[in-house]
Amino acid sequence: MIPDHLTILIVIIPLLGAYTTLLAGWVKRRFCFPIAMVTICIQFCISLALLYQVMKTGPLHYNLGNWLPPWGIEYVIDPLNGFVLVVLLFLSLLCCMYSKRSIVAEIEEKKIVGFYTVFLLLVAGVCGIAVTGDLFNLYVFLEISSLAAYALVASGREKKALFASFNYLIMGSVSACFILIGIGHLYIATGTLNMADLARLLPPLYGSPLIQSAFIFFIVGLSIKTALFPLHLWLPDAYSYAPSAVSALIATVMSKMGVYALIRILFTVFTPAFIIMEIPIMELFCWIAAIAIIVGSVLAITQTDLKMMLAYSSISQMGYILLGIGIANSVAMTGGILHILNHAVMKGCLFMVAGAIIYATGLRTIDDLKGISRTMPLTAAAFFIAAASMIGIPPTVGFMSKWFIALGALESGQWFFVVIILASSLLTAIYFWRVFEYMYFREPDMARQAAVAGANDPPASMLVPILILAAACILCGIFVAVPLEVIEPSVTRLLGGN
Amino acid sequence: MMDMAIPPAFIPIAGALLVPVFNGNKRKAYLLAVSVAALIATFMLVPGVEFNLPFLTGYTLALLHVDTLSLVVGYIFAFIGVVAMLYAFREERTGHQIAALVQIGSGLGIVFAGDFFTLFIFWELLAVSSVILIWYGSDTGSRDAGMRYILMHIFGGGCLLGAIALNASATGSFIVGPVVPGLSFLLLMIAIGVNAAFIPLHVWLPDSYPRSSVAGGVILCVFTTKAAIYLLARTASGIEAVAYMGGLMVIYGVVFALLQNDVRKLLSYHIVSQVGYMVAGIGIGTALAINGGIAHLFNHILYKALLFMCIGAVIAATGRHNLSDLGGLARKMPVTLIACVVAAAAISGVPGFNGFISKGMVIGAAAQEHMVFLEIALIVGSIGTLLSFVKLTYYIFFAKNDSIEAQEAPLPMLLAMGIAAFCCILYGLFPSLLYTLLPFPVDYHAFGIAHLIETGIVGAAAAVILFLGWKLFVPKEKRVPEFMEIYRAAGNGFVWFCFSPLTLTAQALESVQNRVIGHLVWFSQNPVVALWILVISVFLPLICLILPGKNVSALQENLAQTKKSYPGNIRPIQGSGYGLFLVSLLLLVYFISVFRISI
Repeated sequence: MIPDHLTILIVIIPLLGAYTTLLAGWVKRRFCFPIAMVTICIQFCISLALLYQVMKTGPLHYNLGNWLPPWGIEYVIDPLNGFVLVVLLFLSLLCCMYSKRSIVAEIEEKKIVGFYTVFLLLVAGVCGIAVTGDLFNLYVFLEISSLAAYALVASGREKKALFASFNYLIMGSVSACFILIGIGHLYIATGTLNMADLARLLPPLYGSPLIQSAFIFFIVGLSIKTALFPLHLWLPDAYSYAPSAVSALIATVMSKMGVYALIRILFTVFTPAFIIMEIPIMELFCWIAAIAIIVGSVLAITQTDLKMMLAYSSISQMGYILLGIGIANSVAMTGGILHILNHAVMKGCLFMVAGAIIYATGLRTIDDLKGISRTMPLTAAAFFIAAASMIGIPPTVGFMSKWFIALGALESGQWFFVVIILASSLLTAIYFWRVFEYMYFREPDMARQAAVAGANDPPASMLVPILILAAACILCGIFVAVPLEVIEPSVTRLLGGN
Repeated sequence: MMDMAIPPAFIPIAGALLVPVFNGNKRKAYLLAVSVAALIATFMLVPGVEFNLPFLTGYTLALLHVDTLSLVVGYIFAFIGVVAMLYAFREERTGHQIAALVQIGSGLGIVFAGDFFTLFIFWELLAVSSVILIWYGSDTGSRDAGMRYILMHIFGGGCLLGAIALNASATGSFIVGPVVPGLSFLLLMIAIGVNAAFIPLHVWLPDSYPRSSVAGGVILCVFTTKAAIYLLARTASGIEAVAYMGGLMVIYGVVFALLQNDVRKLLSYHIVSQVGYMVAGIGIGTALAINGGIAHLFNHILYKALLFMCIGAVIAATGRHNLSDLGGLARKMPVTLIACVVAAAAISGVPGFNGFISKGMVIGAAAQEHMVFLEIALIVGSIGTLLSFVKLTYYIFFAKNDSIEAQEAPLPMLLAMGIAAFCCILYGLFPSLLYTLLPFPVDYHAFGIAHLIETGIVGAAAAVILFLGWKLFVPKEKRVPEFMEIYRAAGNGFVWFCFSPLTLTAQALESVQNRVIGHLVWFSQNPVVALWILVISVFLPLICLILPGKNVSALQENLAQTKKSYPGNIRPIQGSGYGLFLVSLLLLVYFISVFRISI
């Protein structure tokens, strides 16, 4: 009986967890962390079970309250969202573990209860986006997770965090508004909100300006959510002024959710036939992604603050994912979806390292990192591995996805994108190499000597997630066949136009 | 049916990862055990076994491809690995130990690689581990020499990768074997040329090996060049130009070896020279010649490692590495002397030692194919080698030197030297032991009349030259260094050309290159601001024309300030206002691009 309901449990459990955390935190503050941890652990196990089930028997359908699809809300799990769920819950789990010690230093103590409550709400929203097969339901969960994210960003002690959160809120709301407009357009045209139903009803209406403008609203709205250049302005501040655990969480989980929603809408609600044949929009989309890749890297070079640099690098990396999706042939899509996993792993690791350095030394600019490898060897080593993966040095996982995206670009004859990918690898190497050089080969400045010499590798609850992610960068690269086993069927499904 | 086996390369490389786990004597025992395990794994291989690793979809790495050619090279690599680890028993630096094991592992990896991709990975690993061994040398020049080493080898590796890619795109195959003619072949030759020290590409070898650590030299002198010879034999045997390149290497190496004072530099040039024999053998390409080339590879590894061990022992004992500073060690280091004499006899081709056999095979093959010039070059090379090693042995062990203090090398080193020396003699007296291992059936009589006469000529010529040389310098016998100055003076003209005009040109090129790179580095520190500075600087005169004076001076001040604070930090635009503006702009762009078509 229970196995049938796993699909809904993955959303219900964190919601229940969130309220339990609130109540338990009211009794005693230190109950919060274990409850959050257990909740996400259970979810992670469920997501693995779901993925296994999907790979064995094919997509799972679950009708909420036993209402049949076009009228009721339907939850659908296919290889793509099974994969995304596992990745995101894995990252959430590590971020949660990491947050135990790191937020103590970064958040006022009385806010900790609220922090974990909102954390679980965000996870609930994210899981909801992943499992739902209903467009309006997707909007609702998108809003839940976004609101939670605004709150988490604002939870830091610095005043700048408030401004960053406000900016994020404004842009996020515009985005949500656009998505709602898009949904409204589709509902007016077809009278249904179920994705599968929409995919069936839409093709005859493809010529209609109503549908086409709905599509544009979706694209622009989700471009804001995924911080696709030039709509990235909210991102650098939000990522860098948020507490480190939150940076890691939203940089990995939230941004990937936007990408997932975009893929769903592009390929499941609309069809590859529509986005490629009917309206010539994907080419423009690809060019914007390509510009994002370059501009993100260039702006990352100009930064002096480590977290700020990582934030701009995220803009560039999101460009890779969207480029892979935009090229829309099976090889490039494989690369793009693989890069969802890669970027989550790499960027999660890097933000955690940045947080660990702030935790240990209080230093956050790149200049201050001179000689840090001697006192924080494991942290620095993890940074090196993740950075190598960002640059795309084999056998790390970053190489694989860039390889696939470049191959896909070549396959579709767009060799210019290959040049972009190579150029960006070079730029990425420039800004990561600088940090690496400072960490390993420079002596600390006089003023920073005490802080650097007194530093240590962070406590185990922070170090373990960092090392797990660093190891994942290499292991996923060597055993890339494992994620590909899931990604390839999902790509076939997406491009099959079902 | 193909059988599976463990690739021997895995054992030292995986073993290297565990080195830090052990401490003290346990670690030393562990290092030996790992190298012995690799040797055993190599001996257990039989032709035809495989080990495939699925890599990407549709592509598997063939980590193990065994035939007679790879087996003979694999045996000697694994064997000398054990001897070298024994010799390096006293070497306690962790990084050195790891690099040594990785070096052995990647050598074995190259030899047994079934596809080019695997080969390339180990090829690069070999270069990286070599650099580490060079860097562990205590010489002040080690760091720079290592840098030059890795630069050349990265270049070679790049050529190899290019060759592999071109070949794969033309044939669709990654199997290690002959590549398609044209650019692919050329790149492959450059890649092999860098590692095998083909003449214009050989400079890294005498530059870096003398500066490596004592034990590192023993390991280095084995793998890099021989792995290249192996690849040459696999991919491109029987090319006449390559054979003559071998001849050139023989002569060139010997001439420069004779000019050297630094002992390990001398040995390094002899590597070039001896590798020349192998290149010649493979270039001639007949069954006898290839057998000879591979046999020479086998023998050369034994005696050259032995030489490096002896010289290493001398350097470790005395701290000196110039012939002019050494001497009189015969009584103080008798065992080392004996080992050194065996090795010198072997490299010089004295009958009864292993070098005699294989060198004879190559020269014989050249004669069979009527390549007269090549034959002469190889014989002249032999004369030079003999002279060079008489000189080496004399000046290290017999020349008068009262100031020198030394003790016999420690037991592990002596043991290692003993094993290698024993093998040199064993294979010299019983060449059939080696014949059975060679890739082609052997029909060669090592102690035939022609070869003995030829050896006699070599000996006689060397004796005459030595005799005349001694006669000339007997009165000045005490002033030993002058003896070499004669050679130096002869070589000086050529050396001057290399060092003066060539170096000046190189320096000029380098400074241009440095300036370009310097500018690029400056630009990459903050491309946004740099671009702004460039644009404003260029267009300032133009702006002067348009704007009133006041604004221009403000702009100039701004520019000066930006330049001063460069790279600085810019805060890119922020704020929701800009964000909303951009959102609407993008929306507009999308709408225009879509509805332009459909309306």
